[in-house]
Amino acid sequence: MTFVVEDHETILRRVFCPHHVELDGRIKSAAFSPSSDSYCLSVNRQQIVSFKQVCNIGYREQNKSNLDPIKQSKQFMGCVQASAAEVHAEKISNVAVMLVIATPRPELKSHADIQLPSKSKGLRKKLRDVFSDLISPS
Amino acid sequence: VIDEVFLDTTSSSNYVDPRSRSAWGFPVEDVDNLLETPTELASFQLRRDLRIVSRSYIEYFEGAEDTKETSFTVDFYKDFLNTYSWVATELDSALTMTAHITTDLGKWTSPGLDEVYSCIILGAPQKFQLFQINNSGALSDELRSQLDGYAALKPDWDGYGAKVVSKNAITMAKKFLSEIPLKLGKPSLAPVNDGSVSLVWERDKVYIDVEFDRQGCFSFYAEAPGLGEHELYPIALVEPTTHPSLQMYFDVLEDTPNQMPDL
Repeated sequence: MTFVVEDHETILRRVFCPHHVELDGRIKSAAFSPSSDSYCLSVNRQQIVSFKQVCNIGYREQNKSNLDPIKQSKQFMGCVQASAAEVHAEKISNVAVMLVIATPRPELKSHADIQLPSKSKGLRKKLRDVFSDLISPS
Repeated sequence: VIDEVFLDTTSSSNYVDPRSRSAWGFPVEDVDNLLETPTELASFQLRRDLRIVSRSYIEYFEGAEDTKETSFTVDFYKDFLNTYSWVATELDSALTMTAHITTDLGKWTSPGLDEVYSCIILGAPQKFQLFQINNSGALSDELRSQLDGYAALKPDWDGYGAKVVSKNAITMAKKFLSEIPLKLGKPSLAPVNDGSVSLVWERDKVYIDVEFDRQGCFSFYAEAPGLGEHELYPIALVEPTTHPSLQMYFDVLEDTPNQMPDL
């Protein structure tokens, strides 16, 4: 069942790509470019899963990916976080442009997507502004 | 490669001959006229007059008593001749180079010839500094190397199913960077998960995100005080360096204070 995540919730996005993080830990807007086919960005709801658990998921994905020679080897770098309210705050004619939708999966109940209307570079910049700097797992 | 010329004539101000003002060849009241002359003529006049001035100084001081101070001054003006000849020659290509000039009158980055001439003529003899940085626009070795690094990324490099970065995008990003002036500052580069390359300039409240996609098409998003927001979606057959809207934002970026480039 999918539903709009409430404003008071905090969401986390895992970061694997060092090219998406400035040297001082600021996240780059390119980290918020949605996939071309779905215009969605995967996040996790902190209400369902703790920061530490999200990091463990990141490490699991890193280890799994590094066993596949075809894929890029990865290093889980940490997470960036934002409140759902800040994501919902971008509005046109009083209608939210971006929505955080809970999209739980059997193996990942905390999964949610930020749904965007397009691959707008303006929106990815706005997401960059509302998300925190990189929070390292340690 | 950085070639540096540094002249500090303030210490020799005691030796400035009263005739020097006219010896510069450009009476102050004629400066405006000079700046209206065609570039090539101005270049010729500058070289000729610098040579005349320099020689006259050498002759003047070589006839003086051979004290330590005058010897220094003669040597200084011999250096002055050589250096300014070099500068005058190099200035011919100053419009296509990225240069950084500091005088007591002010600072210019990538000045036009007129600015260079006026700071020599009005500023001399004062502190004059020219850094010839490179002729590759904003495409530094560091940025080139970063872009080349993106080509080696394998699929799923971001953990969210990213595609490999397109060679078209990398080539177009390099071309774009080599055609814009260094004075815009160093952009923050990043690969994008659809295989594009993003170049972001951000200074104070000015933000410009230029992107080249898999087809090498160009798009951008920009925001700046007074100009608001502007987004151009990917479009082919558009020359990014001359795109009028993008140029407006770059103009604002250029006027926004920033630290001098590391030299």
